[in-house]
Amino acid sequence: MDWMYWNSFAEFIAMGTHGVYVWGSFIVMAVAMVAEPLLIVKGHRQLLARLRRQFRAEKSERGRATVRQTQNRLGVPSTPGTPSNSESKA
Amino acid sequence: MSNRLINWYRFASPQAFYPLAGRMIPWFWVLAAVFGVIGLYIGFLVAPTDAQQGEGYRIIFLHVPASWMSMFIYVVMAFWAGLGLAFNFRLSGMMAQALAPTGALFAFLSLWTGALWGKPMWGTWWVWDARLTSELILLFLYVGFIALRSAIDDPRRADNASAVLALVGVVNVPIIYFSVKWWNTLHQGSSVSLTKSPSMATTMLWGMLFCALACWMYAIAVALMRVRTIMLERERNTEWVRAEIARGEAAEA
Amino acid sequence: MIAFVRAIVARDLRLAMRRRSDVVSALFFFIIVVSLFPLGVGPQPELLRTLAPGVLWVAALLATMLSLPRLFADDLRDGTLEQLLLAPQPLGLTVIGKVVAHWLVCGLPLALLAPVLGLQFDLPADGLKTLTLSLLIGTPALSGIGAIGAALTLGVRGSGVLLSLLVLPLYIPVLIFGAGAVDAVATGMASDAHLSLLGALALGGVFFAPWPTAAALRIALE
Repeated sequence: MDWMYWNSFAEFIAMGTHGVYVWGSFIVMAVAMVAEPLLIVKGHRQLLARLRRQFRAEKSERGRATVRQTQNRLGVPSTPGTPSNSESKA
Repeated sequence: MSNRLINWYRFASPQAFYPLAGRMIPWFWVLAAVFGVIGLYIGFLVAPTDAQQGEGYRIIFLHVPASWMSMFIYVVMAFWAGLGLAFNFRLSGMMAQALAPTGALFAFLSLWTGALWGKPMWGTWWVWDARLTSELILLFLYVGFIALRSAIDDPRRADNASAVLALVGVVNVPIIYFSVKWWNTLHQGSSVSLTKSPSMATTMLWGMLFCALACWMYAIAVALMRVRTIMLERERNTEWVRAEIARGEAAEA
Repeated sequence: MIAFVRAIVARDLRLAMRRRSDVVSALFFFIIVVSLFPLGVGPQPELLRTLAPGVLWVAALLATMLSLPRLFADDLRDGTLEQLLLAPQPLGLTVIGKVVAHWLVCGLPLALLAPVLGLQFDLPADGLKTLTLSLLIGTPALSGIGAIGAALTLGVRGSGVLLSLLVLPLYIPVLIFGAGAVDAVATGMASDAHLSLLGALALGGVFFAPWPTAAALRIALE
């Protein structure tokens, strides 16, 4: 087994007369196999961000509900536009 | 024995599998890269030229692993699907779902590289050769599987329905293959076949082997990555996902 | 057991007779598709003769596809399917009955109509005979395999297109042996091998395919 079959880089790129076909296969396969995991990672990140937002929103929703409950119990009239409203949006 | 069974059940739950998969993924990537570099080095730099086919034969280092993977993945997918149907494991449907796009991608790559191989060898991009035709049909089967899954909203029903389809497909693949082969010989299609060279040099075999191993590792890594996303998505109303997200947030803060 | 299957067949036939227009539309679809081909490729008799087996068979596949979504959808809507699911007889038998009824309503008329259309393609007499025979033997397989797809896509959005996506690849062996039988006769060979393989597929379609169909129906109604 030789260390390398080719004599020059140009020869390697030319692949006899079949350079277009060999490199056409290689590049498409390489691009596909790089793109697929990148797309998955992107999808995973987006999902994580969405879930975080959702859970945070639920948490503040729950927080607001308890505030309202205590207010009702204490007989405090709930005022619209209280800070708690804008907080939940953050 | 029963102890081991319990362990298996434990890892079959998404909750336990999610972090396990996360730890395994980097290793599969490393293996994929190492095997890929060795395989491509042998195939593209060391292996001598093929007397009949010239340098274009080097496409088989890409084509053959892609074709193998497209077929293996279908069988593995059907295996997971059947497991899910028989034992109702939550994990199996998710694994089948995670494997399908990768299998379809390999089927496409196999067709693409096959066409690019055929042009210099046969003088045409497409031949109705039994292998190429079956590969095309395999791609159709993948597309059908993915389409059925995405058309059903309820994930449990999607799991089960697509499992039935995958099993029907796996029974049909040999029938389809032999019918296409029969049809091909009757229509005296090409006498050349893709893996014809009778005395393939050992160097070439090694190159092919490493390329195939790289594709295996790649497929496992990608499937594990995708299954993690699917798990989070589908189990988003459970406690463990909440804990997982909270831990991720804490780690970043 | 046979009485049960017969009862299902009789019921489905009665229902089909009440909606004759569906059956007739599928047949006309078959006729129209087949008639389009000479208009597309030109009227040379030799060309049409070589195309005939493939064209007629592909058109038969498509016409079958057209009638498949109906197979279980009506029963699902009026609740009959749930009753059948709860019946003491195995669901597979019910499906066999429905497949047989579907063949009588769809496959059989296609096979009987095919020789007339074959005349448009200038097929010789023995070609017409083999065409009819191959369709008679092969269409039960189409009904049986199609039932799996119909059950899987039951009540799913966009089920019509999805059904063809799932089922047409599985029809390929039937197409190959069916059209191959007619081709073989046209080139002066025997068609026995094709027809017996087609028969094997038909047996599989009628007796094995109903079990995955039954499983798919259970999943759909869960």
